[in-house]
Order: sequence, then structure tokens, then C-alpha cells
Amino acid sequence: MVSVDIQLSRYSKVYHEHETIRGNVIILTKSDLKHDGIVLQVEGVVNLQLSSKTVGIFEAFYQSVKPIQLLSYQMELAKGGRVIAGRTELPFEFPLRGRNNRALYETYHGVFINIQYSLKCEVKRSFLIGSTMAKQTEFIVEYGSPEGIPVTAPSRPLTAPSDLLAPAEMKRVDFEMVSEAGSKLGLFHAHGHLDSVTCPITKPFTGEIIIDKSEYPIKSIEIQLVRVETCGCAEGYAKDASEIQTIQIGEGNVAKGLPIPIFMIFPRLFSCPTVSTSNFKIEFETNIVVVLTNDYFKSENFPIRLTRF
Amino acid sequence: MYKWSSDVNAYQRKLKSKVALVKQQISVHPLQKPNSHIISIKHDPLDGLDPLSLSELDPLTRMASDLYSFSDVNTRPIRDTFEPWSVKKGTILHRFTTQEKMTITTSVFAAEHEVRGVSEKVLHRLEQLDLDCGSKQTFGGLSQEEYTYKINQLDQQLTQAWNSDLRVNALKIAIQCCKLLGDTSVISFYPSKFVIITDILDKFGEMVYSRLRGKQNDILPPEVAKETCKNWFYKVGSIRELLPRLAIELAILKSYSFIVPNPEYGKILIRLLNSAWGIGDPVVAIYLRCYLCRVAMQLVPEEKELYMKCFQDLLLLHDQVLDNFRHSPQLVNAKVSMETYMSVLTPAVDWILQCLVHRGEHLNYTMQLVSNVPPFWKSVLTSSMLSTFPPSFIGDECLNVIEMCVTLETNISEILRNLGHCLILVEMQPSQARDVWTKVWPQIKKISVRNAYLSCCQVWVEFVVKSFGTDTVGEFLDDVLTRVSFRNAEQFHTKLATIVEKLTTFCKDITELLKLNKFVKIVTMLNVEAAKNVMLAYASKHSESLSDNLIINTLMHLASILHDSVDALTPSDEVKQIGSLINTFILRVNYGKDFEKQLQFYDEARGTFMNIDAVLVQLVQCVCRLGMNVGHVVGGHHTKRTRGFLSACIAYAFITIPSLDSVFTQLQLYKLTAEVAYSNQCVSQGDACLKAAITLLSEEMDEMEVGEPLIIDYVSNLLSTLLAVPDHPKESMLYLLKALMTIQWASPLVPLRFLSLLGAYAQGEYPYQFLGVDNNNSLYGCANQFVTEIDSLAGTILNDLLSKIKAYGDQNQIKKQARLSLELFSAILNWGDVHDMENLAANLWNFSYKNLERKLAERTFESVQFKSQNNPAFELLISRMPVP
Repeated sequence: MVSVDIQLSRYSKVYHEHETIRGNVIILTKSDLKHDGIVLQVEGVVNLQLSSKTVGIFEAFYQSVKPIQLLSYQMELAKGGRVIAGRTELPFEFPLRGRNNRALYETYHGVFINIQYSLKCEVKRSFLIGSTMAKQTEFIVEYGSPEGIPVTAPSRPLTAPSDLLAPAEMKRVDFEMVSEAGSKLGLFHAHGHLDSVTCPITKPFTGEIIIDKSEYPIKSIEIQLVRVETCGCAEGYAKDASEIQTIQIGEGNVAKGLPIPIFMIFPRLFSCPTVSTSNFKIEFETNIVVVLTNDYFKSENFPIRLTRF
Repeated sequence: MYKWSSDVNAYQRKLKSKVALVKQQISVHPLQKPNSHIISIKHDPLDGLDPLSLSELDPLTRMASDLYSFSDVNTRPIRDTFEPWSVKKGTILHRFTTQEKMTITTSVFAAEHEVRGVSEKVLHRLEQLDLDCGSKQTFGGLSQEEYTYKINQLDQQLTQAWNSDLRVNALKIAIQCCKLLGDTSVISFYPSKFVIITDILDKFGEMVYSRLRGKQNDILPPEVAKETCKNWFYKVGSIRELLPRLAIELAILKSYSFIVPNPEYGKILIRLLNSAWGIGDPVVAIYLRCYLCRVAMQLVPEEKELYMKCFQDLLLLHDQVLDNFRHSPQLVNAKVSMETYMSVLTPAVDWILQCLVHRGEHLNYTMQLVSNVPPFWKSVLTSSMLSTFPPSFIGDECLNVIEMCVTLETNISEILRNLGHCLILVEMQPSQARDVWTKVWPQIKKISVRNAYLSCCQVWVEFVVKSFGTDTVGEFLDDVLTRVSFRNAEQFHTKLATIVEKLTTFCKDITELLKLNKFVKIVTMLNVEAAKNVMLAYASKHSESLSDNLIINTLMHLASILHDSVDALTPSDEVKQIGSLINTFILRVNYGKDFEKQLQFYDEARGTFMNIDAVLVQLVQCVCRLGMNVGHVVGGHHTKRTRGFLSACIAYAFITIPSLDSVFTQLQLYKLTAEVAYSNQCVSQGDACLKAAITLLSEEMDEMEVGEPLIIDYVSNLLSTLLAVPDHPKESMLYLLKALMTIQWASPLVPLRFLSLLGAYAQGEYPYQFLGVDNNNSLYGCANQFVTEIDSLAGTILNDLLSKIKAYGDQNQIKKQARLSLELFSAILNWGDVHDMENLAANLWNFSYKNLERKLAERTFESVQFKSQNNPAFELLISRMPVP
């Protein structure tokens, strides 16, 4: 039995550009192990995929867009030889830097766009001795602080807008949701505000909604976080919106005239700071949805800009 | 055959040889210790308590109680009147129950299905596949027990999942639990459900915390705990549903300290509190706030703003609460009454208020806020206010509070009850108490539902009995009685019993209470236990003697209820207790100089309490005492009337005694009665009693329930009495003694005592006699005939004893033989004419001294030697006695 494992120096596996990634490759074996070299591969890729919805099944199948390589190199940890029985640790260390000085985007797991960074360790063995063994692990890239401000952990209790952003960037957005009597929704009026549509990804998304009037009782009030992914290529571009998560903020027939807080944490991996490049774009929107007991709903859409800081 | 000859001058001889002791006058009793504890002996002589135990606590108890009071002072700050949740929990679970059927919807029960057959197996697998996709199962028609069982099952599965490292599953189960909290369909069970489920959540929170704690060690990098904790909060933050998200975040909030060392819990809690506005069902919303306060009390007990805000939220909830009551289809269909609805909300509101005011702050402000809300909500809040505010505050403000209460219409009984609970803890001026009562009483009377009415009375009775006299109590009871009748007493039994109990516990003078026939009526409506409690209260609280006929009749009535409850199946302890209660009562009754009445009372008591021996024994003794008292009053010289009274007393005792079970008790009582009779010159009655005793002895010797030593004691005692008793003129000489002698005595001691009595009979003057009764001495005056009779009787005994000695010898019981010989030797020396019986005495001595203990033999010899100095007969004897 042999096991290969990669351990990173940071438990969270989060690194910034230009930082040094340190770690160990750990090989556990019960008997001596012959090999033709141990190699560590570092890779960062943007995978783009066209959805069938926008371009049709046929094109989607054939015209997948070429992945964009952000980062790729290889290093040899050990030359061919043998690993003695027991636990062997092979330390490694390399700076995190883009290929050809390309910018490293933040890790993002989406539907049509994936930005992923990985480490792959291979213990090469010719087929005469046995098969090659490999272990892959993902690490996460986040934008480093521009002016050397230490990155703070997402601290959620901060609700005052001034905590979140510099005053200039903070902009309160008021909204109203209205429906006249006689429509399917019946007479309905609600208003509220979002503290800002420019949102640091580490801070919660906050605001307030007040239901003023509703002819039909309310069933639920929800916030939807939606990603809008755009893949561009020679033939044009495809734009797709899909839901990331829905958070309920009101359940049942809530009290009228009292403020219900809007509060949502941005999920890790599934959201990232808004990206816009020549090849692809990742943008986000939120919907505020009020569902009535007659199953009709009223919703309000807000494009938001996510930032790291 | 040996012959006995009595020494008629034995007394004089003894007097002569006595060493006269010189009397010395002293001022202080030598046994009396200075400053010793005064042992107060209870009035009731039959009370089982050891008088020694009354004086002081035993050292262990004292230490324990010292320790207790010590820790009491140290650990409990005065302001801490906070009633912890663990205490409330039990009450809630007990109070909120339901008979209705409930439904549970969840996706985690698949595991317990039994799988039978192939098709079911397939189905089961499909279900299991479904499980991962979050399919739901619905269990309908569950009773409360089944429902609770299901929840407990969830709890177990949660623990199981956690222990097998399936954290995500554990979280899923916790979410399921929270979802159950959102269901208020069976509202009367909701508070209990809340208690059970929040327990699970607390446990979950604790598990998360201790696991993170475990990650904070030297082996793992410090960021591990922090990252894991962040993951938890991210995970919880992405729970779709509002209620589970809030509840679970609250449950694990304590762990936030792993992310930031000193987190601002206050801010987080305020945010969560605001989020609670998103919950539409006001019942759920209020209970969620209650849970929030519970968490907050652990993390930030001093965060006043938070609790104030929480309370203000409650005020704002009014419209929603009322609207929910009026329009919610669940409540309307189930026909939930407003009172029930309010009572369901009470525990949560209580808790929130308690968190706010337990430091004794914000009291006035809070009260002002409450007084301005609309009436419906005011009822609920006032009730909670009364149950959580410090009683002293309510006491000071009581008139204002009452003003406020009077205006309310719903939930009034609950409010009055809580008010009562406050006011009974407060010391109040009499005039103020009167004011309060005149305002409150009409309100209580207005309550139309009997159960609610009695619940109020149950509390207020304490106030009434503490503050006012009998007339108000009477008025109060009058009204209670108009509400309940014999027919439905059963139904309200506990409440009425509490009323009675409080009355007896808190009244200043129980006799006043007993005079109220309303009170007695209520007691008689209840079971025996209530009557017993009243009797107990009487026995412990009232120690003066009783002569009031009214009270005596009442107590007699209650006692007869107790007595009548005794039957063949009653355990003996119970009978004992009842007996002693009745005895206490009987002993307290004292008509003073009205002896006729007293006797009449005893007579009546005997008729009523026929079945309890302990009472009869007591009665006989009481009557005897009564007789002696009368004798004492007339100075021993009875008139015709008092003699008749005495005869009556003795007749009473004489006919009561045979009905007792215990033979030995009968014997003792016969003797006592006989003594009383002779002391009061009722010779023939005394004679009858002694005859009865002796007959009993001869007939029931084998049935005796006590051992031989006691009987010997008794017989010796009886013989002493016989000395002062004259022979019956129509019977033969000494016929009582002769009768005793016909009984077969196992022990040789008894015949020896006979010898002593005979010796005493033979003397010219007896040491004692009953006043006004001639004894045998004055009857026969040492006539030869009498002495001969004595000698012949003594001879018989002597020969019997000698044959006994011989029999001992045959059985080889040398020690016993020697002892008996010595005893007989002493008897001869004491009572016999040594001159005549010198031979026998010398023989006995020769026979026994070798086998006696040396010391005893020497001492005996010395005493004979001493006696011989004055008596020539002894000189002869001593010359024949070998020195041991």
C-alpha cells in the first residue's frame, strides 16, 4: 500500500498572487518503492463552455472554447530512485506568478466558467514496475490586498454600511415594488433599500424591505443570488444567467410596516469579484422576490458588483 | 415437709438494725447542671418523639445545616432572583400537553423501516436513494407521546450521525428539527415542543463547540479551528429557510469566539433579532425571540439594550398576534380560546421579560410601556409582568397595578393569580391590604369559569388568611362554596385541598378557623387526607387546652372521619398516626371543673372511636385521671355525689378494658383502675378490677405478647397493691393471693415474691394503705387465725420451692440451684422466724454457699453476721454456718 498526499502550509489553502506556496508531498509506503522520478505540476486554468441554450446543442458540442491557461509549470521533487519504507516528506516551494505576467483571477466554480488552480504530484513508474501514482489537490487564489492592508476574515456582524465601504463608493439604493389592485398580484406595495450594490465579497449583502400593503397574504420573501456568465469567442458571445443560491428572509405572512432585514453572505467558491475580460465575463445579480399565497410573485432585480475589498 | 413460721416483728427488727443516715440540707439539686438545656416535653405523652431529640439537633444534622446556610450566604447574591431555564422547562412540559393528533414531516426516518420481501426491499432502496435528494415523509395521526418519541428519535439520530463523523447529516437533522418549530398546528403543545427541540439545538451547539475546542490544540495549526468554524457559519448562512437558519446560528453562536477572540455577540444578536421580523407566524416569532434571549443570557447577560429591544419588539407584535388569533385558519378551526392562546404565549413572554428586568432595572419604564399597549396584548404582558417583576416592586405599586388589571377583560384569572403570587410575598400594612382586597375580590368573583376561579382562590387564600381575620375568611369561603357543591368536589379536589392546606398553614389561630362551619364543610367535601391535614395542623399549631364546644364538635367530626377511614386493610402505621392524632385532640379537651361534662365527652369519644385501641387506652387513662382529680378536689373524702361519679368513672374503665386486643395492656389498665378505685374508697369496684386482672392472668398466660420479665414485673407490682387491699368479707382469707398462687409460674421468682407479700401481711403495721380503706391488718389485727393462714400458705410455697431446688439438682443445674437456695435463705432471714426455721436455713446455706460466687457468699455471710449482733436467734444460726 502506498499513499501520496499533498499538504499545503496553509490549512485554508488560500493564496494571493506573488506569494510563495509551501508544502510537502507525503508518501507513505510499507515497502521500498522504486520510481522514475517524482514531479509536481502547478496549473491554473479558465475553462469556458458554451451552453446549449444560447448556441444550440450541435455547436455546443463541437465549439467548446479553448481553455485559457493562466499558470503552468512543473518541477521535479526527486530523481528516479527509491523511496524507503515508511513516511517520506518531500518539501516544495514556489512563487505564485502568472504565465507571461498574466493576471491570476480568483478561484471560481460556476456553470459555464470555472477558474481553478491545482497541484498535481506524480510518482512516475514505468509499467514494468507498476503504474504511475498521482494525487491532485486544488488551492484557492484570492486577490491580494492592493495597498498591503491585511486581509481580514469575513466578519458578519458588521451591518453599518460605513463599515463596509469608503463613503464615496457606498451608495444606498432605494426600491419600490408596486402592483395595482385588480392585477394577479392584487394590491401590493412594498419598499426598501439596499445598503450598496457594490459589495465586498467578504461582507454580507444587506438592506431592508418593508411590506406596506398586500391584498393577499405573503408566503415567503427571498433573496436570490444569480450569476451571469458571458463567454466570448470569434463567433460572438454567449450570456447565461443561473441561480447560485436562494435565501429566505421572510416566512409566512410577515408583519406590515416593519422593516425586515435583507441579509446574505456570499458563498465561497461559487462567487468571486466581478471579472470582465475580452474572453469572458463573470457578473452577479440579486433578485428580491416576494411570493404570495396565490403563488404569484413580484420580484425586483439588482445587478451588483462584487469586489474583494 | 417443712413448716413456715412468720416473724411478726420483722419490720421492727429491721428498723433496729438499720444504719440511720443523716439528712443533709443542700440548696442545689446535685443532679441539676447549671445552665443546662431545658427540655420541653410535649404535652402529648403518647407522642412518639424521644424527649432527648427535642432539645437539640444531632451534630451531623447541625453540621449539614450550618454548611447549607453558609453556602447560602456566600454563593447567592441578593439580586439574583433569576429563575433559570432548566427550572422553567419542567413546568412548561408539564403544563402544555395535548390530546390532539399531530403530523410530522421529515426526511430522516427511513432508517427505521422494517424491510420485508423483495418488492419492499426495492422500494426501500429507492427511498434511500430519495433520501439524499431530500424527499419528505409524512407521519400523520400521531399522539403526543408518539410525536415526542419521533422527536427524540431525531435527537438520537443526530447524536449518532455526529458520532460517526457525518457532520453534514447531523446539520441536516438539526435543520429538520428546526422546521418542526415552524409548525404551530397544535398550538397547545407548542411550548412543550419548543422545549424539547431547543434542547436538541443546545446539544448540537455544544457538540459543535466542543469539537472546535478539540481542534484548538498543539498538534494542529492554530488556523484549523478558525477555518472549520468559518465553514460552519458559511454552511449555516446558506440554509435556505429562515427559521432553521436563525435557530441554528443561535445554537452555534457560542463558537463564534473561534473566529474572533472576543466577538461582539451583542451586535450579532441584534441582527438576528431584526431578522426575526421575517417570521410571519407570531407564535413562532415570539418563541424564536425567547430562544434568542436564552442564548443571549449565556453569552451576554449584561447586554441591556438587546433585551430592551426584544421587549419593544414584543410590543410591536401586537397587531400580528391579534390578527393571527382572529384569522389563522388553524386556530379558528381548532376553536382555540383566547385564554389558551394567551397561555401558550406566556412562557416565552415571561422569559423575555425576566431577562429584561431580573436586575431590577427598567421596572417603571417597562410598566409604563405595558400600560399603553392595546388591551389584548396588555393582558398577556401584564400577566407576565406580574410573574417576573420582583414582588417588592409590585407590592409598592400594587394599587396602580390593580387599577390597570381591573380594566382588562381577558386572561384576568391568570393576571390575578400572578398578582396574588406577588402580594403574598410582600409584607403589607393592614389598611393597604384591605384596600387591595376590596378591589381584587370583586374581580375574582366576576370570573365565571370555575376552574379559573378556583385557581385564583387557591393563591389569594394565603393573602386573605395572612392579612385578615375570620370574618373575611368566612366571606371568602362562602363564595367558594357557592361555586362548588358536593357533587363536583371530586373534580376540583386538588384546588380545594390546596385552599384548605393554605388556610391551615397560614392561619394565626386554627381554632378560629375551626369555628367557621364553611371551612369544615369544605374539609368534609374532600377526602380523609384533608381531614388528617387539618388535624395535624391543629395538633402542631395549637397547644392550649380546649373547652369550646363548637370547636370540640368540629374536631370530633373530623376525627370521626379519620376514625371511620380505618378498616382491616389500613396499614398499621396509618392507624398509629390516626390514633395519635385523635389522642392529641382528646388530651387537649379540658372542661376544667366541669367533671360531668368531661366524663360525658370521654363517653362520647369512646362511642365514636371504638375501633382504634390506642384511643381507648388513652380514654381509660384519661378517665382514671379524671377520677383522681375529683378525689383530689374533695380532699379524699367523697360525698355521695362524688362517690357516684367515681363509680361511673371506674365502671367506664371497667367496661372499656375488655374490648382491647392486647392482654398485657388490659392487665395494666385493670391494675391502674383498681388503684384509682381503692384510692377513692370504691372497694368493691377495685376488688372487681383485681379479680378481672387475676382471672385474665390465669386464663391468658400463654397468649401474652410480652416476655417473662415484664410479667414478673407486673405481678410484683400487683402484689404490692394487694398488700393494701382488704379481703372481701364474703370470700376466704387472702383469696386474691390464693388465686394467684394457683397459676403455674414458670419462674421461681414469683413464689419468692409471694413469700415477701406474706411476710408483709404478717406484720403488725403495714407500710402503706389506701386513704379511707381498711387493710387486712385492721380487719384481722394480727389474729392467730390470720397468722396461721399466712404460715400455711407460706409453707406450701416453701415446699414448692424446695422441690424446685431438688428438681434443679436432678437436672444438674448447680448454679441455678445455688442461686435459688440463697434466695430462699434470704427470704427466711427476712420474713421468717429464724428461731423456728434455723435448721432449714442452715441447711440451705450449707447446701448453696459452695456453688455461689465467692464474693456474693462472703457478703451474705457478713450481713448475717451483722444482723446477729442484735438478735440471739441469728447468733445460733451463724454458729452453724460455715464461713465461705
